Amino acid sequence: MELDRLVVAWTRGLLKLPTETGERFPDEWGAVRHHIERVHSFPVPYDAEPAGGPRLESLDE
Amino acid sequence: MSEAWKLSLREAAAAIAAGSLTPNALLESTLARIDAVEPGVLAWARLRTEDAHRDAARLTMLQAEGTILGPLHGIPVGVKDIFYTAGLETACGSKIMAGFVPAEDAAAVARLRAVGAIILGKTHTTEFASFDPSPARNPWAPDHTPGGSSSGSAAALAGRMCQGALGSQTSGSIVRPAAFCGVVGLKPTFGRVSRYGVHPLAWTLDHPGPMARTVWDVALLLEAIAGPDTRDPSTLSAPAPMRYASLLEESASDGFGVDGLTVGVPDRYFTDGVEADAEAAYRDALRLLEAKGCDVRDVHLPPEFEAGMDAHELIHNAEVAAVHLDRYRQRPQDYGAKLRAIIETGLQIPAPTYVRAQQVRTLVIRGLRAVLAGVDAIATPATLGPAPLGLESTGSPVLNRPFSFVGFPSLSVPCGFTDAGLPLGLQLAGPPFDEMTILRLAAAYEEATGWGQRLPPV
Repeated sequence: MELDRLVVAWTRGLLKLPTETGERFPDEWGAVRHHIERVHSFPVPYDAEPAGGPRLESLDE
Repeated sequence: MSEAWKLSLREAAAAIAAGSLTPNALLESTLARIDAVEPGVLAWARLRTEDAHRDAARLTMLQAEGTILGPLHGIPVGVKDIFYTAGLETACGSKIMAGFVPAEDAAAVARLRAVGAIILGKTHTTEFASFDPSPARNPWAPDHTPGGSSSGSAAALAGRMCQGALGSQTSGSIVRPAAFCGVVGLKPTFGRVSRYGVHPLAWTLDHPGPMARTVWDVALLLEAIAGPDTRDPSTLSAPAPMRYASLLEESASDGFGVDGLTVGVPDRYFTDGVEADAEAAYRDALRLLEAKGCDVRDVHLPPEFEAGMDAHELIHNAEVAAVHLDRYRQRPQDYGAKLRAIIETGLQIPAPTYVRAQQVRTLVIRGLRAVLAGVDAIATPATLGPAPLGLESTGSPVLNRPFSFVGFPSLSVPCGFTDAGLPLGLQLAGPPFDEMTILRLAAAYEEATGWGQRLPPV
């Protein structure tokens, strides 16, 4: 997987990240890339709702 | 009682309730112990000695009048330095937070104070409870890590510098340091203990929890800090917490009721890369549980389990990046290298990937629920081995991460020592909100072995 450097640069600008950030961590990025690829290659049914929906309480409580 | 520091939390609390020990005497003994031990351990980020004296004097006066505030009356407790403490600096092991003095206590801290605990001080944490290490050392071998991120809490307990402590776990930050330091650490179910006032590392993975010298002590602490809190919605739908310590008391004469419990041994993952001495201690522990009447049987982890561990890392890094974005933008140079790497890689994780990782999480939760529908608990080694040599790394959380990911309760209880004298831990995990079963199993194991009674050579 190759990063779209223009998109990355745009995102960094949007997030107002200063130039001293953006440090490359090739080993860590390699691990994260591997995790991304594995998660996307694992079949997930459409009805698997993501964990972490809102936890609500009634206004009466 | 000049050596009151040797007492477990339960023993000290009982002595105070009976009037044979005063909070003043316990504090004096504890502070003398800290003077003797702390220079070689560096467990404490800061002590509130004067305020603790004031608290102890007040609690001693109440005791003399016949008033015991609660089960932790006069008990000195260490608090990991990511829990907010009113009027006391909470620096999170970070240059960014240095000098920050919260106006109010974290919910767990307030609950400890309400039942009489004395907040003795703040224990060292890795930077923002992540992976850049703190100065804390392992009391069993000062050139070895105490683990992290609740490094100081585990080291202070092992050094007998407090009777109880608070920690937090996002990957393996309670169970791992507890195992490395030969103490007991419980990561409660997500939602069992309020996260209010605990600086977040990754919102959906963070679990505050108790650490102590014994299982019984952990049960007493959990009883004090568990329960609903409107400021943390995850706690509101949780079933009511139990009287953990009282239930241990009631079942003690019956071997803690573990005869007939089923204990699952996972068919994979949890022994991958485990060192020989840690695996041997684990197998011995399983045999002991069997001798106690447990039905120890193999269980098959769900097929999505390994993808879940990938998902954990993605959720972790993405949430850490989101937590820190504003401050990282202002002061990137003030972050440690390990945390910078997490933030930078977290920033590159696409939103659909984060969502998919949370979907995988749903599947793993379903799968592990099914596994735990067939057994009462799961037993695994707590760590890959003893505390690694060196202070640059806090060791691997891979064996603890699964239960942080799914939110189920897990704990570590000491299960032996290596030939070099370093502690090892047994990890027990149970179904959501059933802390009681793993406490009972751990108490039965602890009573039969007594590994946690050894003192480190500090």
